[in-house]
Amino acid sequence: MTASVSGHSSAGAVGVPSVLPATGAGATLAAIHAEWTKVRTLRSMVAVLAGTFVASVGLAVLSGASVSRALRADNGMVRADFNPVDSGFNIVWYTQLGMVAFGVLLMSGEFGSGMIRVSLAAVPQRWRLYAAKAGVCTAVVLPLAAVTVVLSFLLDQAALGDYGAGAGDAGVVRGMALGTVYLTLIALLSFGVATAVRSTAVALGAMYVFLFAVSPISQAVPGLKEAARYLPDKAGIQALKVGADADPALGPWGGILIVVGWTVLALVVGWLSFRKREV
Amino acid sequence: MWRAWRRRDPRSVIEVQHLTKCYGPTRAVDDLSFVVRPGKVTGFLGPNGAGKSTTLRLLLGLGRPDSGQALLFGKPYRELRDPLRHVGGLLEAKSTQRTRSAYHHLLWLARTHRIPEARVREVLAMVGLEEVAGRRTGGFSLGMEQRLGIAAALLGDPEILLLDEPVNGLDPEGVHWLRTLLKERAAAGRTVLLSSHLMNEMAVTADHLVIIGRGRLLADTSMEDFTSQHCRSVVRIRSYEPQRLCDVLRQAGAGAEEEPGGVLRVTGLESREVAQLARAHHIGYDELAGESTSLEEAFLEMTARAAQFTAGQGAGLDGRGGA
Repeated sequence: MTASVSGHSSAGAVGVPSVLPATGAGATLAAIHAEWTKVRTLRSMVAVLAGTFVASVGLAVLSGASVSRALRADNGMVRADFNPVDSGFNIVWYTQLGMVAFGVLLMSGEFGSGMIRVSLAAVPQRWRLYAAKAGVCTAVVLPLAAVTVVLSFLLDQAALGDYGAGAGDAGVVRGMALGTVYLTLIALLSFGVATAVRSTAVALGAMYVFLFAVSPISQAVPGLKEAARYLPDKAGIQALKVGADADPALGPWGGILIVVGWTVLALVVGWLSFRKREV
Repeated sequence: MWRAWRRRDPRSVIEVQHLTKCYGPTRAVDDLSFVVRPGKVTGFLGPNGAGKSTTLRLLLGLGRPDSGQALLFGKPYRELRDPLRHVGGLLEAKSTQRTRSAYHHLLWLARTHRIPEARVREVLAMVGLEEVAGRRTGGFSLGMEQRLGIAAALLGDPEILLLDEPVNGLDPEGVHWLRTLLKERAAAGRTVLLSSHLMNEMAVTADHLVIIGRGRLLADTSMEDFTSQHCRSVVRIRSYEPQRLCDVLRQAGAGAEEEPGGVLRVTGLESREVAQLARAHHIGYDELAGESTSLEEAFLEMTARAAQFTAGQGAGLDGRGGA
């Protein structure tokens, strides 16, 4: 397969390419390998992932410690319906900020630098490039999200001390699994959005404005509250909860299904934009 | 379906057929047809904005033509399997993410085709970047970026090289190196198409010329033919009565234009004939110099004519020459 790479034996051979190609599946695997190489050789990507992990775990410990102190002091700083399981999964809201950045950068970095032309010259079948990127996004975020969610939950509970929940408590394992799925989905959703808008600043700005402003504000507006339940972050985060933050009407599985829907929508919109985009 | 039946010249590895690409009201490429054959360096020449880059982008499948087609080995680029092993493209200097090293840039590219890492080191050495291979490309000069782009094009040892303005930013030593490399590859029977807006660069590199202006084909000719057809002699004469000499020369059928300082630029006559005419009409002169027009001038004249041609299309067309 590599015979023609350095040898000049094929010089002068003109006509339809004679080198036997890798099969379609082989080319897809090669594209995935290349996408993984891109991720691991870019400092900003590695920094985002490492930073997300460290910040989440650190936040879990800090939050657990401060909540436990407040509970001990019984100073009214902690809400009356405090639930340690929900508290542990609150970290996921912060973890998603890093996963969103990763999903955005995975695609927007290529458009911003012009490297997308090199990528598409190497992998001209656009579905293959798009799928390889989405696949690497999943393969990177899923395990990292699992470790981060589990570790930050356990550390939060440990820091809560006597007030903490155990890993065997109701909803904990399910919450860990759904939290991992949610973070993976929100990264993919961001990837789809970034593909559609093609700019790091616009995509990241849109996602953060949504998470920090649009979603909380629409939650607070009486007329919008009913609809806000179906926003991806609201539906996704409540799916992890067992206490007062849970949305019994949606439930954990209904909530995550809504996030799946949003993610599929974003990936389809991204694909439709990417499919025939001139680069 | 009919395409399968059409006659193809088996020696044309690149075929551009009635290619048209519009951006809004602008026809960047306008019914352009040409073929590129192996064993030669073909220069793709045109002024800025003539449609060279657009044509190369369409050849690489990065945009869709409005009509016509751009084929490599008789197929659209997207249908080539393992394209980097057949076609190496260089589009523009900045096409890397700034914080990735040159080595890693080529490494991910190699991964798409299962090209071994040893080949990455090999092409880095070929373009003279092995010492900076570990540095981020953000700190690269334009010339270094260009060398990296050429390394990327060479990675799959392709039969076809498509290079857009590859000498941009290269130092003289780099230009010489690239020229030698391209000629060697052509001599080995491969196909090289490189674009440029500099005729003089083409004159020393290319064997064949495809010249475009405003998206249209202006000439598809061997370098030799272009030289013999378009290189005319020009005579510059500084006389005491430039206006009268000008009339005399024009009556004799020559082209004459006034330049500052009483100098006439005369075309269509040899310097000996110009001198004879001046003497016959008793016009004194104190300087007479003959030179042949450079290829660059011939090229500029040709593209200027194309620009007028297009501009004059609405108002009725007379096909007059430039200037």
